Amino acid sequence: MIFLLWAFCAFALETKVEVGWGGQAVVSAVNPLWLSVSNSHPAPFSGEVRISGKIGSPWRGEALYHLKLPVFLAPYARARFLVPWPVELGMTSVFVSVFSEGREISSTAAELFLNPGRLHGAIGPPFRPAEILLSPAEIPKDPLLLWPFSRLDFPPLPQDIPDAIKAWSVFLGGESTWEPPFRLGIRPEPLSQHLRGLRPSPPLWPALVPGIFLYLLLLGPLLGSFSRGRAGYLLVFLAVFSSFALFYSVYREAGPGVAAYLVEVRSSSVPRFCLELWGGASWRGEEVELPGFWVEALPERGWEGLDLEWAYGPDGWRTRFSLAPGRPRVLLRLAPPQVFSPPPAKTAPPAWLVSALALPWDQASVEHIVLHEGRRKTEGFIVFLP
Amino acid sequence: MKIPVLPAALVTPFHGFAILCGAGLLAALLWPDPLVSRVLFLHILVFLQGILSLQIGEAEYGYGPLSLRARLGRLLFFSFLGLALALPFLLVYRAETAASWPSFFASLAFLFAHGFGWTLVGYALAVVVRWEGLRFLAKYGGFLVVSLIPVVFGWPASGLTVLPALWERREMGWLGLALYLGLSGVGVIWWWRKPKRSWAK
Repeated sequence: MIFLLWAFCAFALETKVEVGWGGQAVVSAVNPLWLSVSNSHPAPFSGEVRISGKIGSPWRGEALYHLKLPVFLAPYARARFLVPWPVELGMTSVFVSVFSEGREISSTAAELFLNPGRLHGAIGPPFRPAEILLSPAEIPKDPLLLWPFSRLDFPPLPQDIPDAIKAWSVFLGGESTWEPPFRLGIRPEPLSQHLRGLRPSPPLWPALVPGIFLYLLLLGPLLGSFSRGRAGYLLVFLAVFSSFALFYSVYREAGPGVAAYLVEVRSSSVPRFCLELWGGASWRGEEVELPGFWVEALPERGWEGLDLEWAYGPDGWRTRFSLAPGRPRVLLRLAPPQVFSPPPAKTAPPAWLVSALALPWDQASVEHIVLHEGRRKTEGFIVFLP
Repeated sequence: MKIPVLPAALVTPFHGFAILCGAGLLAALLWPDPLVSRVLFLHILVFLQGILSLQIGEAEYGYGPLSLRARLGRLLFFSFLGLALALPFLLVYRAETAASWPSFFASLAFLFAHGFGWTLVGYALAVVVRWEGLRFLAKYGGFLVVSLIPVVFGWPASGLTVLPALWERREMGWLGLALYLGLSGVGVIWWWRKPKRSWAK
């Protein structure tokens, strides 16, 4: 009887999902995803909800976005979760599956109503004419969720303008009645170019170039002597040089695997949030896990291999992704400013950073730090602006 | 076992092959785009090896009367020598592109089968096509067709598609390796069973 009760319980969980403000999922933006889960059974439910969606197309390459959220529901309880969900071209639906003890117990799909342009919203009351109307209570704490809006109209709010709106305005280019001190612009091409040139460690040229020249120089006479019947010298020579090359091959294998950049842009007008850009290039196929909710900042022409997985745990969100050899990826997030140890040192902004980010550089001060995390060496730049 | 003597006509092709491979390795390592850098040397190597192998086969036909077994041994040895000359470059490239050791050894096996296969083709063309102009066209024209057409369609029949796939451990690489090992094996069997009168010069 108890078994039957549990089995029935497993199939009793209901899920409902809605993506985008007013049901409109804006393409190339992080949209809000509301997930409603209800447990209509007298037993508590403990499990995991997995949300997935495919982006791209067969001819442009496809990638999978995957989000894992642990869920615990009391008997007859109902919960509503709000999670960030990036929508890209080609994503026509999202799939929601509920897992309990590693077993899928239910799954549903929700069609997306895609909107190619960003939305015009208004915060009221009194409401002004707009595509989406929000009450002050609906303003999200996470500025990423305001990304689908290009403009937000609001009357003077009773309290200070929320930091989420300020961060959206400064870092995501949103327009509102609040005028930001600057608006950040990311220029994809210089950033992508710089990352393409990243190598965890360059070849050992002082050993490589003389070695190749010496090898080719000695090879001619030895091949000549081989044609006159003296093969021994050539075979010993080949064995010696192959041994050197083998040593080089094994020695270089121990080098760092990933080279990465972390750029943090802070504004004194938005103390609670900063924009972080993580760009990395890998020497070999690597799996990377970063704390926080990161989204693709520089989508390439092809989406093949640009999968992202987010998992919520005791420490909050974590983002997992893979780096294909030689193919850089850039991700961004809006998060509270980090405290670095040891403290960064002041430096001049590198040329690639100046060309990659449209900022009032004459007002900026830049600090530099090198972070080592396992096999990954990350060079960090913190940009302070008014 | 007696090591075969290198025909004088093959000294320059072997040395030229090594020089071009060395230059190709440097060009690949200096190439600014890592996606190109990861395959450029492999493309250069497999293309040059095909041409060298055709020259080995043709030169071997004019090397004088030998038994079938000795001839086969020489063709195998010179195919191996071509690979051995490029081995230091391949080892360096493995380190710089972070290819795995299984990929490296599979690539070596493929290069050996590829080289030996084209050596047999070079030898067979020298036997069958007596007119030098036509032989030149058949030799290099055929090699270009077999190398480039599969690239357009993505077939695992060309070294240009198979070697990078093996290097990156993609499925197409294993298909190509099986194909070339199979063709080389068939070539060896055919060599043993062919009429001796017309082929053993």
